[in-house]
Amino acid sequence: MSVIFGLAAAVAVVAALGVVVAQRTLYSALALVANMVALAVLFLTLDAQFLAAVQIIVYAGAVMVLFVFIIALLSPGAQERLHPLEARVLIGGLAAVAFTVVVARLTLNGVSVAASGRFYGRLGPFAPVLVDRHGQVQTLGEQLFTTFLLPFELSSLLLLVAAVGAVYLSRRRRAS
Amino acid sequence: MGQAAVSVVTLAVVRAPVSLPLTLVVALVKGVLVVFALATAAAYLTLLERKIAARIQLRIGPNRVGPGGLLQPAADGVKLIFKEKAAPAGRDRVLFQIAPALAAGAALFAFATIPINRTICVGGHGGAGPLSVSCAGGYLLHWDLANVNIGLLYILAVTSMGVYAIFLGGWSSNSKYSLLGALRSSAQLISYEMAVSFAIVGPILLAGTLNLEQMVHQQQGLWFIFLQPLGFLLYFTAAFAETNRLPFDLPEAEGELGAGYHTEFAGMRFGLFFFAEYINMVTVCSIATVLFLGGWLAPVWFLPSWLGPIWFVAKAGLLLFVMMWVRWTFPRLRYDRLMQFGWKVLLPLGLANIVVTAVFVAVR
Amino acid sequence: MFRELLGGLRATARAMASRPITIQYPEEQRPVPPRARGRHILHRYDNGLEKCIGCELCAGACPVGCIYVQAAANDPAHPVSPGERYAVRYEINLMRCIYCGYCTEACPTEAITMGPRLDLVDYKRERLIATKDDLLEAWSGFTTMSQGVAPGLGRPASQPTPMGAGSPHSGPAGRAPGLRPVIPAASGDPADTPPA
Repeated sequence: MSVIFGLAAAVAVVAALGVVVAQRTLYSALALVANMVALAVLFLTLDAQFLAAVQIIVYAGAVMVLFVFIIALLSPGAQERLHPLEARVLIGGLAAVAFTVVVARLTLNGVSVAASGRFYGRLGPFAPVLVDRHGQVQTLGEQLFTTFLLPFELSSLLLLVAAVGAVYLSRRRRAS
Repeated sequence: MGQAAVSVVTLAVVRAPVSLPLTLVVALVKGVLVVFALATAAAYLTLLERKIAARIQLRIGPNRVGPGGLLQPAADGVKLIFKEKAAPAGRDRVLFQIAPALAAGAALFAFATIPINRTICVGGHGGAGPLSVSCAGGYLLHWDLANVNIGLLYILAVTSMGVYAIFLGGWSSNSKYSLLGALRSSAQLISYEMAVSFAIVGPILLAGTLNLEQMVHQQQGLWFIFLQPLGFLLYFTAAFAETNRLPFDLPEAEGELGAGYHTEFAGMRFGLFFFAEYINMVTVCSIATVLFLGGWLAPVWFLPSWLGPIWFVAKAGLLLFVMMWVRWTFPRLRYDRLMQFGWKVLLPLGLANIVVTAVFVAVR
Repeated sequence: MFRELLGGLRATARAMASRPITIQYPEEQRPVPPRARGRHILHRYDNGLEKCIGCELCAGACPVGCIYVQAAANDPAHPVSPGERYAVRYEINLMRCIYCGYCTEACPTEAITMGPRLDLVDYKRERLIATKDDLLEAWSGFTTMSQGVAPGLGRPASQPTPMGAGSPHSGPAGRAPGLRPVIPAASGDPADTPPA
């Protein structure tokens, strides 16, 4: 329903603005959490329930919790107010606009609308009818382990590298 | 009311509704009932806790207020409302206000997808097969607030948001004890979330679905606790840590840390945190009932059809009793040992459980 | 490890199954020991005369100074106590009293002793100042006297007092709710006869 889409999108945009504009760093992080929750609602409107749940569990519920931890522990000072005509504000604004254009172009190009009004991506063998037939989680799981096996393994390797790096960097150094 | 909103969003967006106004009304009524029931349950759980504690300590619990002490929770509530709302001077005002409400809200929200009875076709002839309930000419009454296919994931998502409430509550109090308690509590919660997730993968593999109602239907022959005893133990143990209950309650240990993250909250603000903790207990025991003890199913030789919710309440109540019994029996785990236990014992055991269950399911 | 855990649970389960050891005051009360130092009692001889001769030794002995005695001369026609003086006013501030028993040790006639009544609470401070009326035990022989009650000879046993007299013969209408404490029966003590 477009009402729900409108609400969720509005919250997402306001929260995103809040991330940039908020005076205290912790409020910035919390605004980002609100943004992610709004995105999860948007995923719901697109029938991607699993993705919505995982978005909240992983992003809003784990990654952002650690962000909030670090901010609260290290307590960086409050941000100075940004004057609207400062150089970095202008450059940042331009970059945001450019990014929006690029993303819009990519999504609009890559997405087709079937006669029934549903969207699907360009990647071929996957089709929404699979979701209706088998269920979301099952379809996602199947695709991950068959069509997209290589990217899946590579991303898990990437995560492993990150974890190993973190452990290595935080090891206790012997007194020399 | 948020739960009603969740159910309306999912029902209205994800499926074509029977009729939106009817859905709305049913959702609202269910929401009110669930909130009311959970609030009453949380209040009387405090009384039950005190009575059980008393009996274990060879004394009688509260028995003066109302017959047998039954009005004690009301007296406690009134006392909390009338207390002076002292708050530290340097607190972050916005977050200090929000944190208790967020805690209670997340706790209430999490109960939305737990079914206490099987779906019933109201007025109209329905096929009442376990996997597809159709209802021609009538209304399909689900006994959970929102019957979503990712029910279990939804609960995990909401409980992971509950971590914020604790952390922000402790941080916004501008006090050392609160911050320490909040940090410990949040770290404990996110660690044991992993243990919980691993423990519940077992029943998910056995049932083949994340929908809680389907999961209960799959237990019609044999409850999952008999197929997954280790899984049940892991889940129940991790549940103690998730709800900050002894023996994992160092974050709010009365002797050690003042009262941890809710030290500086007075009156009803503290009441809301307390309320949230007990509702979390109810939710966690309900999930254990649904996943391992067969939900609303009766032990084989009884008729379950209309007695469903009573069986559910009885089983969840039994688990709650065990939680309280354990609390007044065991000493508290020191914090570093708590974390070690979560990461080095529960997690590997959970992984082993998953592997064995997966092999069993694949070979079956 | 599991054996210890289950053993702990079994211990608490056994405690849950056993009777609580709580004594539910005030419906149930423990018996008061015979030498317990509770609220004071002013005694009488068996013929009705008060034992207190108004010597004020108890007030002097009291470490806190919570006893007030006002003595007066006995009217020879209607004596209150055997002796020259008697106590017209005798008040003890029960809030200040430390219940040490020194007054009992100081009294030459064993007039003041400490009784078994321990539940001395009230909402008003004034009512916790025990006067002679409250402290003086009732006289069981009152009903046999026909006329001419001497001042201080007190009330019949059945008449209630504000603080509740300490004698087992006094009625149940003390202000404190609940049961009276269990008090041993009146003694046939030769000390309870007045000196000649």
